[in-house]
Amino acid sequence: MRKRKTSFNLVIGGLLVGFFFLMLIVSFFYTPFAVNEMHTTERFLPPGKPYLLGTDNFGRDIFSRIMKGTQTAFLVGAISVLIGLVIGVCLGALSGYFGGWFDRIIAQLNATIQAFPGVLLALMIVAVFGPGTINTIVALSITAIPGFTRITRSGFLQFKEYSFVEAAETIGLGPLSIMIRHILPQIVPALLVAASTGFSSALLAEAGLSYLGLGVQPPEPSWGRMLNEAQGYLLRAPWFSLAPGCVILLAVLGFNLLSDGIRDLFDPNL
Amino acid sequence: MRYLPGKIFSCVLTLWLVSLLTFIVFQILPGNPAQIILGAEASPEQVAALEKELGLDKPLSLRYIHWISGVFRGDLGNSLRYARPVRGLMVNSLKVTLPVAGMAIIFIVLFGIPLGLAAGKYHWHKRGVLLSVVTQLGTAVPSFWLGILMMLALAKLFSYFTPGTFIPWDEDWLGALASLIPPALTVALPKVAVLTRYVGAAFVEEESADYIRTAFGKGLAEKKVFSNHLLKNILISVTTVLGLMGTDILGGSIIIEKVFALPGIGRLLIEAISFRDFPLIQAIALYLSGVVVLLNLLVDLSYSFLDPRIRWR
Repeated sequence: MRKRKTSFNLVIGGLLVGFFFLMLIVSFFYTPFAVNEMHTTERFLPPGKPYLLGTDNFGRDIFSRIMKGTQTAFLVGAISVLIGLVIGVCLGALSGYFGGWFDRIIAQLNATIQAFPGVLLALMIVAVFGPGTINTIVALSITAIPGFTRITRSGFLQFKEYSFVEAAETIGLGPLSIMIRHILPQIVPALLVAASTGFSSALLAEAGLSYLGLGVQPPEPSWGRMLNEAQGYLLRAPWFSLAPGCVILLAVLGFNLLSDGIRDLFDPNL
Repeated sequence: MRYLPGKIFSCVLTLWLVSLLTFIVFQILPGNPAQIILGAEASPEQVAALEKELGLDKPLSLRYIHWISGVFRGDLGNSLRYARPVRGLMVNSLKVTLPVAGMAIIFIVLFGIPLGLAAGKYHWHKRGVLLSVVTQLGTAVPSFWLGILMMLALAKLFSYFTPGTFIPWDEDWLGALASLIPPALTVALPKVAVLTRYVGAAFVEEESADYIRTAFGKGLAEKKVFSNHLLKNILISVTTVLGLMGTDILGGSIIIEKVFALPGIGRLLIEAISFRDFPLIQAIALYLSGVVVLLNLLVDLSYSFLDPRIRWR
């Protein structure tokens, strides 16, 4: 029973994520219509042929814009998770392995970053440097750092007490090679889980910022901004609001399930 | 008893760092605030006069001391855009934001804990699986889209479609309260899903713990085991999750207020950002993060209240 549930998360999550990767790759070569091509006589068409998910207030094909939006979402998500991961792992490793004043300073800095609720830090960065894709990535990277730091730190704290680390010290390995070759591989599963969840929170945050009009700017299509544009025509063209929202939901769900699936796979306690 | 003073010290330190950060961030800004306010056509004399008025001619450290001492006196300065005290603007917006957040927390506790206990109890049951699917969807749904869906549903089902018409409290407090229920539900529902999953998982974990077996072993009735032992231990972890959620609720309400066009602190912040109204942004950022820091402290305090083991650490 437990075994079956394990693979269920992984399979559904993997399928959803795989579907979005496929859409991402295809969108570089093909979309049914050009993303910004306006068909002014065919505004607010309901889903059907030839517009699979209907058209928006400018008569643009919603499906093509959603496909292209995958690029924005995944670009912002992947880069900000990667930056957050690299910085977080470095800080967390040093913090957990050496402890002392460095650990305390990092903990305090993390507490400071985490004192800004949700999108507030991102909003402040946007307020200072202006909206745009790069600033969104910077903002979301900073938000992602504390989580990765915490996971890495607690992993290092735990494993540095193990006898295999002691053995490595005895045969004269330096701290750097112990950290990278012996402790880091132990926490890779935990980091994978965190990266997958981090990706889904980045997707949500980017969509939220773009919905507020402070994230990705036109003409780059973004799922969040499509929702912003759609809301004004909520009663006239409900499908315009439904499609981008469903897509965000499915992408976030996919990465959440994938993260659960990875955890089930590696964690013998569950 | 080194636990509490340490927590309070780090809390004060965090608040100080936050205030420093929110202040510095807007001072290192590319461009002169006075110039931004007056626009490109302003004469250098006008800019200099406004700089003096804003205190921009003084050194950074002095400006910080001036600002932070004002914060302690409850004087947050004047908004650049509205030319009114920031404090009054914030108090007005909080009359909308705080009730939404408060109602959201009530909804979360009211639905989340019972559903979570059900999820734990029926973990290996069909109902549990169904609940797990629903909550998995609930944690993934973007809250602002949920808000849009809720408006669509209200419009289609009850022909109730009135975004942006918040009735002031002193006009009709019942109407005001009613108009805040859909946004509060929107903020709450994804968190209900999170809490349900969390309580469910805690239930399943605690259920197989030794002390539960002992309790059953000594012949306690299921109800007693449940209320005296299991629930108590689950509540400790629920407190943590609720504290952490406080952060999300505040952050989330920034976006939800935009969805429902409510004149709350989130809308004030977004407007302040688009007009680069720095005194206002600083004050709101400091306020929101201050609430978060205090919430976290409360969570830590409640630990030592709920879990005697921590008190003696």
